[in-house]
Amino acid sequence: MNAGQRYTDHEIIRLIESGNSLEPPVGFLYSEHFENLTHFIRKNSGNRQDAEDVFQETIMVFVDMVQRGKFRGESSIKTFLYAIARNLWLNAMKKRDRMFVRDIEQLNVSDGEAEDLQAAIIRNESKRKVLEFIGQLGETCRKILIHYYYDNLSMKEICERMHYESEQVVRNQKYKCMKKLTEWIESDPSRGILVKELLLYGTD
Amino acid sequence: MELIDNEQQRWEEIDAYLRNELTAGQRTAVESRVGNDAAFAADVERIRVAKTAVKEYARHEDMKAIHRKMTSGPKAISGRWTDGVGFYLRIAAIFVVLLAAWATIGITTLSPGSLYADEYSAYSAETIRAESPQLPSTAHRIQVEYLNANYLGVVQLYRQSTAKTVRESFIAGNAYLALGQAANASVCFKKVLLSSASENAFDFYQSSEYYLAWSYLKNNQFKQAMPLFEKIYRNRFHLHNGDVDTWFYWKLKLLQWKQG
Repeated sequence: MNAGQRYTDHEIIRLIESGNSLEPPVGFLYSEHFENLTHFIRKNSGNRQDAEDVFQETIMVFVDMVQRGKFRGESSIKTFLYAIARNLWLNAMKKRDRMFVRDIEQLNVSDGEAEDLQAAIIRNESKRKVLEFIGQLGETCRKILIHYYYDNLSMKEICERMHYESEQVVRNQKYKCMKKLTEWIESDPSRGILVKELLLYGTD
Repeated sequence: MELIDNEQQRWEEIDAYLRNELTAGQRTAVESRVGNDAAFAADVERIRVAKTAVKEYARHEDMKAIHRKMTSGPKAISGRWTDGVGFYLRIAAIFVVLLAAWATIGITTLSPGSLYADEYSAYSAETIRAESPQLPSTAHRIQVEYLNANYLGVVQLYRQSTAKTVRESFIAGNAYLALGQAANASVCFKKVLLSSASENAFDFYQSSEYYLAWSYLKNNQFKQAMPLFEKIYRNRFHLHNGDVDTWFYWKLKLLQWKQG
């Protein structure tokens, strides 16, 4: 991200949709909205750590919505981020069994947007459960699969980067990791449905 | 083992298909098999789902990395400096740092000379004039010269004096001290202490203790000065008890600790 680079709402959406590096638009969102959102959370019984967690989730939900074409653009990004953060923070407070959840100020988003973002928050929650398993696959598996499926590296490149003896060793290892992952997904029918549901809107 | 090998090869073929790495002919063959072989089609779906999950995970990790970068480390966005407890902790930290810096400088620069320069104030002879309107001529002249801040004149008259009374010695001692001649000042104040009893003139006894202590301090004789200051500090009826307050006393104790 170029230091001090500013973007309009339209440019941010375009950059996130492009599928290129998320750092420039997301970094800008942090520099532009993180402090105000932190203040918002703190004003509503949260601490700085709560604010950081909520903001991270807010950005993840927002990026996911933009990438799936679910951001309508009826409200400004700022208003929309506040609306997501507000919902996430209310959910978090409810989970903590707060006896008294303060009435957090409503934000001016349309009913349609409010429904979309609520659905996106639920989706994000489900997605996290799936992703947690990948995190538990072990470092070697994670690296091989990410290099192959996300970074689009060839077997030869992975072999060099991870210092394997041969490409065949990498192939065998990747196969074992995929086997483990697919078996986990299919071991629970509801999990399979959940992953496929996520896949419906996935960015393949 | 053969079965695993076959499955592995099949999955590699599906991967190549999903990555668009196949030739047109190979691609057509795979698509034809998807239509005719349910098990193969299920494998394609299985790998497509797993692949998407991996990509989502990686994207999620990227976002977490951006978050870490933006909220910690050198590029972190700092919190509002007035935010909650952090604000008070920062203020307290600044105060502690300043206090520590001030104390360090104070300890480092503290010496008998610096203490003398900072705390000593010359004796005022105003009260002597009020108390003693008819003094012997030499004593009177010495006092007048002292009031006029003519300390050299005081010293000259004192040297010429044959009597060197307690009063003359006390004022001369202060004149020497004002001139920076601490050793001579000490001699005068000690003479006052010794002569007070013989002359039955204790008016200057306690003041001489006090200024003798200053003379020692000025002359870098801290070990001689400290007992006198301590005596004055601990005796609340001493004439100069108020001059040796707790703050000054702690500076003396600090200097004592520093000098071992």
